[in-house]
Amino acid sequence: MSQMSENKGGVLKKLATRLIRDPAFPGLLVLIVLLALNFYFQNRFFSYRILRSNFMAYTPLILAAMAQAIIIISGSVDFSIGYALSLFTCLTAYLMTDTNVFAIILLGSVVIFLGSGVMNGFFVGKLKMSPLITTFATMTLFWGIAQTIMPMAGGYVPRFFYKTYRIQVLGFLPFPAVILFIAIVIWSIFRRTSFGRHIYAVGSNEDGAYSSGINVSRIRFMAHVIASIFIAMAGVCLLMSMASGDFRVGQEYALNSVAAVVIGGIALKGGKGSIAGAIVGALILGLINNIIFYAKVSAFYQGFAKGMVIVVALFFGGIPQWLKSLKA
Amino acid sequence: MESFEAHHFRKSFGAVNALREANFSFKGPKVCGLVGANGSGKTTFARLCAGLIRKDAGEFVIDGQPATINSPEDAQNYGIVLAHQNLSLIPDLTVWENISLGHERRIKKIFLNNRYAKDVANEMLNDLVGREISIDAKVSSLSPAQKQMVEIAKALSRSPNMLILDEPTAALEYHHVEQLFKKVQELKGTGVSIIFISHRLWEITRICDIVFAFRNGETVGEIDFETQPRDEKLIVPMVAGEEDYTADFDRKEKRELSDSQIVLELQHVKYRSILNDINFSLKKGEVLGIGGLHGQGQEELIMLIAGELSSSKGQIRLEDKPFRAKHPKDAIRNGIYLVPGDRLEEGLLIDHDIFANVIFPRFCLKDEGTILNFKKLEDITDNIIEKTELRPADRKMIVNNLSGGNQQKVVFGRWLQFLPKILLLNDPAKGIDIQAKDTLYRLVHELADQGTAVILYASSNEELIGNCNRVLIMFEGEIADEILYDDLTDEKLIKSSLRVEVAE
Amino acid sequence: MVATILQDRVATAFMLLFGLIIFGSIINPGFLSFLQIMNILQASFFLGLVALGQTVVVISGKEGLDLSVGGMLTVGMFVGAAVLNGNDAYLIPAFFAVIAAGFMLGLVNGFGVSYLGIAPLIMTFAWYLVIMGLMLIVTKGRIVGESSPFLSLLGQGSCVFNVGSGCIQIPWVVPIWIVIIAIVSYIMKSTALGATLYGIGANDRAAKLLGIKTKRFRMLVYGVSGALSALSGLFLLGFVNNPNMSMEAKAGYMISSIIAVLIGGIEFNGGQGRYLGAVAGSIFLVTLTSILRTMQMADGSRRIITAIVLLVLLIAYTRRKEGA
Repeated sequence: MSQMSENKGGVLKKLATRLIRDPAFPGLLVLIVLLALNFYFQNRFFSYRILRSNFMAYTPLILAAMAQAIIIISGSVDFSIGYALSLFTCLTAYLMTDTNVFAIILLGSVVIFLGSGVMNGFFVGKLKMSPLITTFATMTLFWGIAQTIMPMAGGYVPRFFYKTYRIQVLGFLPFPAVILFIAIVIWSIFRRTSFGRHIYAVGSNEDGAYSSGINVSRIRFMAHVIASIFIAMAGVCLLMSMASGDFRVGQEYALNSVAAVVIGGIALKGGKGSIAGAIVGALILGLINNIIFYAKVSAFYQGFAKGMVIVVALFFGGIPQWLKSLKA
Repeated sequence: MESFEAHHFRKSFGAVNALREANFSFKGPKVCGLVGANGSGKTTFARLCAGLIRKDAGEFVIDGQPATINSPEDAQNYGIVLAHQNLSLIPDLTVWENISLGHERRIKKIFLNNRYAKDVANEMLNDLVGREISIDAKVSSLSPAQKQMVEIAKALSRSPNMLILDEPTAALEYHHVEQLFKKVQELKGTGVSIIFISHRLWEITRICDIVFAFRNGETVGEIDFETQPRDEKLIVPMVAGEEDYTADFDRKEKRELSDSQIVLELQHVKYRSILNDINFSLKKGEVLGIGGLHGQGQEELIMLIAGELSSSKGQIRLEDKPFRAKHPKDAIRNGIYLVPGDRLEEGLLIDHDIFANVIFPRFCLKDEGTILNFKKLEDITDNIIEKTELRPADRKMIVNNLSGGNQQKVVFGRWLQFLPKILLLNDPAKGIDIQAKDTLYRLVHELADQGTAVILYASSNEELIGNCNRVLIMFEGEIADEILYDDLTDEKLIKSSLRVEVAE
Repeated sequence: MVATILQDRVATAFMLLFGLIIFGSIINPGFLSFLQIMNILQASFFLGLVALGQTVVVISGKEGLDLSVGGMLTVGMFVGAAVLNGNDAYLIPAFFAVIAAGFMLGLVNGFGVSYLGIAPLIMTFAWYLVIMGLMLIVTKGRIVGESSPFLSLLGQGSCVFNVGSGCIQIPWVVPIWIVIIAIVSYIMKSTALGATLYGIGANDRAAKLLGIKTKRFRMLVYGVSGALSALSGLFLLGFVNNPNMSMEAKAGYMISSIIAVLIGGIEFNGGQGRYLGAVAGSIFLVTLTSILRTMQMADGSRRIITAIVLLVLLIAYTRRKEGA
């Protein structure tokens, strides 16, 4: 009998230690603080309507952050995610009519898959080009195409389509939350395959991974390809949320997706961190935006405030390293 | 594997010929030793067998059939597994994840079978190290010795037909080595052949059935211990080359230092948990050795004096004045110069030329102007190239294209432009050819004769005995023993390092 | 002094440039006129100065990159305009104010990168956003101040030489740039300063063990980059007379300076490369933009072409490394 409760205590302790050791844990604490702050500034924060509207606004970023996390863990980085989203919304809003919604969504997703996933993956994985500059180039490409398709914001999105974004599934779940849930399930499946482990191996020690018989260039390639699934999902959510196409949306997502990943405890050089961290990081960014808005920060200050938040978060992240180097 | 043959292997990396005419064959199962100086091609050969690199020429014949090995997967298919010297472990993954890496078992072809992987990991590790390592530990948290054991366990988990161990004992503790040797014999018993690459000739003579010697990329000799005695002296001439090698190496005569002043004194020096209470003093013109088992703090002690460990505690006196080195700059400005342990990572700017590498330390000196006086600096460089007998004698040569020995001449030689007060040598002869080593030590002693105090940490006892006036043995971060010139023997060094009583 | 591997990279950059010029003159026969070339050189100067900052940051190693150059440029414009306010008497203070502002802001980047270990990519980009946000706050969208006559002369005007029957006009920024190139090349090649920069980029650890305070040096490098970009902003103010906050243009400088460095054969690992290469890269980019403009392409299409050119270059350069 006592052994049973001992074991129980042991399991709980083990879980607790694992939780605290997870690099996303500080982010989780920050998240809780932010939730409290949000509640302070906006009493009705935990009301259904507000929560739902938050989900609607942040789900694209969360999905983009998840995509970015997969790529970063594999040791790469993708600056083109933002403008891939731009491209998606512009392309689909341009072509969409009342009758061809799903076909166009499919088309857009294939474009994302090929352009963002396969193309980036090919350059970075197979041709071994530097991810940073390469994705800068592909970002410029997507930007250019998006801008060409739709130089001014506009396009057409059928009512029933974007209304869907606002429905309640099973009576209480916001639609975006369901999408998010599906995304998490998809990732969990991948995580349990050898791909899931191998991207960590490649990101952490590329030579070691190669010596262990892992096809490094293929893993790098696949990381981009699989990430593009989430980018496509983000694109769909973004389209439903905006109900139009605008090539300028990409600018924010480039940095924010990387910032979310960093805030979520995922190391930029790869090999460490979990998708949960990306989700936490994206939520934190979203909540901060919310606070800035509801704290009635003047429009002029908002850009500055958002940037400062990221810088402060980065500095905080960097302090442990600095202290360590002082002790060296 | 019943027989393994490698004929006429050739491999070059750019301008460097790693292998010229390598031949290797045996009928298994056997434990084959592979010896040779660094740069002789042993590791290149091992990596070729494991499919990590491709040969330029040569053929494999396995069990009588020609074999192609162009990738790690090919090698795997033949059951050839390599336990690396510069580990193939993934720091951020756990031990069990590492052991199964690359050959994970799956459930229904898609999902990883973690239960199985953990069981295998437990089995492999228990065999090798008992309960010492937890399979859930992240590899980044293990000591180098433990990492090496995990690396070996990983190789074993692939059920090899032929296991290649590349310098497996370099980082291991004594008891690990014993376990490893036991395992090797076990494996041979089950039909697995082992290629055992090592510098340590006493290990080779102990467990190997045959020994192959490489020199300059060629197979120069083979000794079959079934027909010949297990004697290191037979192996050495094959490894060393034309020079007559006698077991009694040249030993520097004892230095008379009673009139010398003390140039460096350490009192109660402490650094984190790695160095505890170091006390010793160093005289001008002395060559002081630091010995002991691997990883007892020797390197940290040297780095501390060189100014790298800024958070150390304790008192240091340089020429009887208090001295605090918070940064290598402080050390260099005070005439304390370091020859670091890893010349590529720590000592050289590999894509720059000899000139750049030689003059670089001048930039932190006080009175060195920023505009470079090329004439003067080029003369200095040429002078050093001459003194160290650097080949090729061209100061514009990119350091990356030099042999290991010549690279080390740059790392060491650069300090000859100054008059060192204290010279810190962190395993200076590691992986360089004999001629370079001789030149290096000759210059060291010339400096000592002129008053430079030298602290030498060498992983080979022969170097310590041959060059030092006395040796401090370190154990667990403290100076555990001091062996004076007259008592300095191999046996005494080993026993003192192991903290075993010497019956005298 | 520093024996650069693949020393022909600068030559390659110039060959690419000449190739592009030839292409341009095929498409548009009037392209190779002296006037046109001078115009391009003049426009390239501003990018070239920013690219200088980018060059030193990239050479300093540890994946050095400065994505905040557009922000520093803006700061330079506005600080310069505010101090000058149309009055030549304040030229010297304006100069120092601009350099100081850029340097201090750059130091923040350097601190985050060097001492806190934050990846340069994200640190500089985040700081860029902060700076732009700060500029918005300070200016509240209004335009404050303007260039002074002498500065405008430097920025827009040309020096006139009487040659034979006519006269040639060389924009002032061209000789200024040549002087800067000469000074920079000298520093990089023949001084301890330059050698140290290459050293910390080539092997930070070895450089430290050889006595260099690498963290401090690297932080200062980012400060220098900020100062250079701000200085370019000051000159740009002379060119356009009034400061402005056009976001697109500033983002353009960020990307363009990186591309210029890439074309110039400067590796992103650090430790090697010559500014002259980035000079060729800057001119290349401005020439490309000019050609595309004469082809009357829309913004979006121009971007696509730039992206394709960039990708082709990247593939070509990466392949070269593989073969080596």
